[in-house]
Amino acid sequence: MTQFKTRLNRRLALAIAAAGLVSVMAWGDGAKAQNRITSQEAIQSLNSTAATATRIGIDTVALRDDIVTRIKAEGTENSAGDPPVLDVLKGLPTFIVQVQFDLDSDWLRPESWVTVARIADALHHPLLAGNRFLIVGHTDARGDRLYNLELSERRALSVAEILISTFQVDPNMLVVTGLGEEQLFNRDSPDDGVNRRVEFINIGPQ
Amino acid sequence: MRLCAAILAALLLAVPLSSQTATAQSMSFGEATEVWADACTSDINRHCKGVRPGGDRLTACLAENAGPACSAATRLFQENRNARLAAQANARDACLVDVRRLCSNFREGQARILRCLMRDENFRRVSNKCRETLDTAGWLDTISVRAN
Repeated sequence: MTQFKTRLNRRLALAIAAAGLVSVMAWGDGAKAQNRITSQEAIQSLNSTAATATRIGIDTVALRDDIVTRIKAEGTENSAGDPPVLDVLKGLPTFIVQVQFDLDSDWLRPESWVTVARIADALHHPLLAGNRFLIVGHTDARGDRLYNLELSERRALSVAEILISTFQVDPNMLVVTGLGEEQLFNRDSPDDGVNRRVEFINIGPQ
Repeated sequence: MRLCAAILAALLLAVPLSSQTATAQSMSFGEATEVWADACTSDINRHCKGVRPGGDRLTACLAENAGPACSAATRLFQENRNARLAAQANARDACLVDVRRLCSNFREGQARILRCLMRDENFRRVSNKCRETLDTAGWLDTISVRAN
């Protein structure tokens, strides 16, 4: 009985915590990137209750080829807009987190491990079992576009490495890609740190 | 700051958290990592900056260089992580009898069976072994039974 009460109290505490954080919850379009998340938020955001998370084929090699072609064709320092090839990803359950890397580095700072750990909690929950997740790295607009594309891939890979090696997330659940500076979070402030982020997108069952 | 971290780590090692029972439960990965990062960030930045976790490289670097507070927090992190992973792997077996008795008509997937077990009318009849395993796995509290 005591245990049951404890469980209820903890559920209540979690509900209160979730309510307090609801204003910063990340849900697809218009979402705010964040670094203070709870596992519960991650589960809710990534849960494929929506019909949108049907099985979809994501060809990350083709995606990258399209983006490289576009960067070379435009030949400009900054992209003209979001690559149309990414439309397929819009509307899928997405969770955006801000994790901190040193400048020009793919090494995740220890303080950001907490955020990744909470994602790991979510990925180990039965509610998300059997789904695959696209981990998408992004950079801000400083520096060369092609270089940023490669840096964002290494950063996404770095996050995946922690999920797999430290938290034993099934590698088959994860697909890693980078979009460099091609899909800025805030196009009005292309150099803003808010653009440096990692997105987790539920792309449906394995 | 390091002293605070050492005291915190010592307290966490010595006594269970107030919300925990003595027999089961584990900190979530997020909670355990928060304690670890508080205790270890300065040691990592000093001795292991740029070392990645794959292949246990970071663990090896910390084993060689970390101070007592970070070492204690690392052990605490590993104990909690391992307990949680073990409970998650063991949950199916630990709850087998309960699932057959209470939720045999539920299909797997979308946490249907877990949500069935967590219904109040079922949860009070769930065995202690199953309950404690689910709790240590971190699978109680985090979802609503009314979720789709």
